[in-house]
Amino acid sequence: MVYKYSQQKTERYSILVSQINKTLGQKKILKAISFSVKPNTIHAVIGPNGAGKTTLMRIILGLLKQDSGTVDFSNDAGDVSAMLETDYLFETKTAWENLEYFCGFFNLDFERQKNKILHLSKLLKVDDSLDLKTNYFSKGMKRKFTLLVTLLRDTSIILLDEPTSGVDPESRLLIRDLMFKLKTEGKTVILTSHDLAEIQKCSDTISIIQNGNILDTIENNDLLNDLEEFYFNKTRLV
Amino acid sequence: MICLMILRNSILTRQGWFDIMLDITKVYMKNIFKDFSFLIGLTILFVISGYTFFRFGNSIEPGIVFVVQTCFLIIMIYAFLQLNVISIDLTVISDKASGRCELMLANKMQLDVMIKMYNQINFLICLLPIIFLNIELFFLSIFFDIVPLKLILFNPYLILFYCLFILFMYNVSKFFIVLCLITKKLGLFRRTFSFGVFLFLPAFILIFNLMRNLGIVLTQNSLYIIFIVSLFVLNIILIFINFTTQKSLTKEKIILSFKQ
Repeated sequence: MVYKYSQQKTERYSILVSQINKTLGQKKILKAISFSVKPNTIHAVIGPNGAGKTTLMRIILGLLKQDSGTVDFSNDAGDVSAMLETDYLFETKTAWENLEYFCGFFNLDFERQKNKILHLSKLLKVDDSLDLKTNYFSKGMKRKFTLLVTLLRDTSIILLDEPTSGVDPESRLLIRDLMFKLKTEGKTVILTSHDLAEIQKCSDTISIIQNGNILDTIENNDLLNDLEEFYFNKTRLV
Repeated sequence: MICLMILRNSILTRQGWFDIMLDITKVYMKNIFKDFSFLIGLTILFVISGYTFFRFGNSIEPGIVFVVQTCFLIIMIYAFLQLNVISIDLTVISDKASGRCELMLANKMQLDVMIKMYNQINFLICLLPIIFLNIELFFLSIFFDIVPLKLILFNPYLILFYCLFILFMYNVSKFFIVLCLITKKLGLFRRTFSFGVFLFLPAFILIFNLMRNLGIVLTQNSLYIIFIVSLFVLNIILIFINFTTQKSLTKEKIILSFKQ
């Protein structure tokens, strides 16, 4: 994977994806995908199952190599952290132990991270569950701790794959508020979700992807109608 | 010695790697050494091994010495394989199934660092109980005067066997880790691996019983030489396989082997 650093191209963008093609097996998953994400914004990628969202995320993260096209970052390509679709917590361990483990994975000093962990866990209202084993947690709680793990690395670009999947309305609000907070701290957030109402509430720009094509990239403020209506109009046309 | 060389090599090849690894290794080892199935396995291993050699008494008939030596060598290899099954299950298989492998790679952990991390964890998890098992057998042979065991443990060929055996443990761990990372059928891999290790013991016992029934009683040195040569050849083969597979291993291969 070639991560080109281009001052001219990326000075206005955090990520610039140009003409990405990817075939897996016999199936063409991504077809000349191009989009850009401005710094300090929340960019959403939406689309039906099998549209190519996860493959696109994996290419941005450097997990898969594109057949052609480029991914340019304004900063170092390593300055990206990701929250994946699965909750990868150690089930038999407490939340604190989990966070200690993940600090080890990310080569972070756990003792130095404790204040940050406490601060973030208060924001997500999970601070009273830090000493509990994660196998007793609900899906929403696991998702919040998974998000907390992702934020440990403190990178300028954060990729969130379905952050609100299986999360109750109150927790969604907390996650949304946290995303806004990250934005105010100067971070760029890219997220995928099937929850269109949530996307409309939190994102600045939205890319709609279907069958490996970007159908449209819109500014959320320019949306005159409901995102759901817009989405179905777009996807039905194809 | 070889163990120290491997660790030293790891330090030299990647600056700072040792520090990172040590933290993660400690965390994983704490996790595994608290695991109930692992502790039960260890207890059974120590008790059964101790009892097996204790009941041989102090006879120095060549037939008995041959049986004790065979038992000793088989137990060492079988114990390692059994521990390796449990440790790979608790580390690589568990991480791959839960998505932690993908998370680590997504959060910029290098592939070779990840493999080294798993290798170090599994190697140490297998090595430490084997060391304790050997200490147990040494003390048993001295305190209960188990002569056939003494004859085997104070044989100079044992040092060469240990060196090759440690290298073998390192290479086998690495082989199974890479295999586990690229397999698309984790469940099948786990079952085949466990069953293969389970079959190892009866298969070996069968071969040595057959040898005994045919009247083939090898001397201590010749049995050691057979094991040493076999381990040497296996190590060469494993080093070659590990080198070629790791060279062709990419993040993409691992990611595409995950459940999509």
